[in-house]
Amino acid sequence: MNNPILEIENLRVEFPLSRKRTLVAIRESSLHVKEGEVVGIVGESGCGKSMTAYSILQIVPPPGQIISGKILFNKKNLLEKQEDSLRLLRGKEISLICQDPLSSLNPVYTIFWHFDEVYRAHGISLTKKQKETQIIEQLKIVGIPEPEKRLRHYPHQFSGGMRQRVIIALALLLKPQLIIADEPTTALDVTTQRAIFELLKTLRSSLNLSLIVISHDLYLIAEQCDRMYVMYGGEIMESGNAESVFNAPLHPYSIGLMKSIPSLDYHVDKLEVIRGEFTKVFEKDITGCCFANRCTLADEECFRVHPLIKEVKTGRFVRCLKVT
Amino acid sequence: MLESNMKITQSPILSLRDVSVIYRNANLFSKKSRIQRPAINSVSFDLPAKGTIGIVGESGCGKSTIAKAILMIINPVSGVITFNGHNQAYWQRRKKKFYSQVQLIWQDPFSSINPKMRIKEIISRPLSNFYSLNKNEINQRLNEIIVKVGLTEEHLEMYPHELSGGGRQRITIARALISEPSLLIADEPTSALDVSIQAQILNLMRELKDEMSLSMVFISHNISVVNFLCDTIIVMYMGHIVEQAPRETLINHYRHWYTALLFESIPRGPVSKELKFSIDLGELEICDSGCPFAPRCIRADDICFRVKPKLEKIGIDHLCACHHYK
Repeated sequence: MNNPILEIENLRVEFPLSRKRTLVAIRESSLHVKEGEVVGIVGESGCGKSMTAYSILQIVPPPGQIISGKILFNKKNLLEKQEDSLRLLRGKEISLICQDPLSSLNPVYTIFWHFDEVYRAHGISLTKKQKETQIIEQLKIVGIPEPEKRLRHYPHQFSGGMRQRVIIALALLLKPQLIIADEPTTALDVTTQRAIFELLKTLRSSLNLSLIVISHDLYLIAEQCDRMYVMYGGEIMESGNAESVFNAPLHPYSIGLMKSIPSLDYHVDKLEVIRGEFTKVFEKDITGCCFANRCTLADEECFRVHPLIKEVKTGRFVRCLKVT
Repeated sequence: MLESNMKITQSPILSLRDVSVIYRNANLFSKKSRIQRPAINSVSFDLPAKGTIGIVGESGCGKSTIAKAILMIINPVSGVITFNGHNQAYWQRRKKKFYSQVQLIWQDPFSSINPKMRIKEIISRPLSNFYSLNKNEINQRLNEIIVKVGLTEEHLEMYPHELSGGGRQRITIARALISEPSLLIADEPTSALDVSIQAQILNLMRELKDEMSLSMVFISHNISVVNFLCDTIIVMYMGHIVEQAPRETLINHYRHWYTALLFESIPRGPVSKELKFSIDLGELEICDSGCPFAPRCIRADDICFRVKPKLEKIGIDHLCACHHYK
């Protein structure tokens, strides 16, 4: 349980946009996932949470580049691996569940074809019969009724929730150790979202999976994960045990984020907001804290000195000059 | 309490009576026309002046269809929609007047404004459509409204691409409010925005609602957002209103089993309980003869599949359509 299966150290991803401008998608982020653990990454759009997932699998869309850092998966640095061995790794040891179940399946092929593609990509030669029994078993695990019949169906014959189940079954086919779920339920209804997470929970305990869940929904992450990371502007602002971060956030951004979500438990006349809007981080303006322009605690020092992430309490890491 | 009693005595600004809408799919390849299930089925509610009604439900439950029916974009097959005491046949002949009084905010701030127009052209379009004002008057109104939605006069000369999602949504709000409507229909106005921006927009809508004494129909899949903004909440399932109650009653004492499922499914942080309800397994089955929720309901029995439950009064202003409500 306690061995880290994935460790990311000082990862930096940049998008050179022109000769003068470089967008920094992730700057010096470190995170780790232990065996059998569910880790959540939460943040708003553009904060680099999806880019973290893409960096692990090294599918950062061009012109993005991983500039520096280490991604250790089972103690081996993935950034040193060749493309051929990465291809075998993707789907076999680390799988990705994408955000949109509508566009992750090819509409002109049957469900069987999608599973067959995984076997073909990994050069696994089985008879059609063997494949079918394996796939049917897989579809049963994720709770799709009548899998024998469903195998011949096309994606449009499935509802959104069922499609996401098919994608989960695809991700699980080769029994990976780590699954990255990038906003797995954003396109789905709340009741379906609940069903999908109940499924992931049972799968996780029965298959001893490690899971990275990426979402913008703080409540969802706090509910479903053991540990969570709060990202902003390409940096990890706060991390720690999900329950303690949720109940007592320390970083001004996490506090603001918590307060700006309308709650069901109480009614307020005015929501507290984080002022301003997220601005993209370019290389030239990299001095100081990237949240400083929206922060209520910020002073002159915050615009000058780039804060480092430090342990404030046991297991609680915060990147802020004002929190000690 | 006194305030809510006063609201009831006022005549409603908008009222729907047994409104049903059926989309007929004109299929190019099949000759036989299939019988379609109504997108909304006998929907009735009243919106008091200055009141806010929130409609929640999952995708495909008919939330947006209600908005379209109110706005006369689609014609209901049966039922009556009255606005300001007149039915839609009356307003059909006075469309300019109607749309100066009823305005809409769309979900997606990226596709609902024309990228080729300057902000000032976008916002002033309703004015030039509905009223005959001279340039000075239009400019004065523009300057007023742009400050009201939290932008500055400099933004008027800009193009939409220069603004972020939150900024664009402020533009659509300004456009909807410049003709000083009395009824505003907001169809998921914040679902495309980040939470910190969502909070800003929600605060803005609330301020403007009080300031301009607007009545509002607020459509959302997010109950927390509706809880913040609305005083009455309607829960819909498969085109039916299953429960309707004042905000506090609904949040704290919901009675319908679908509302219960909905509330239990919402992530509430680490405190969440185990799910007690049967959850979406298999395709969504539809029960046409009885209660639409019966195939997914844990309390469903024989009668639920046979008899369609009526929306009945079960408390003060509390309506619920269930044979076995909690």
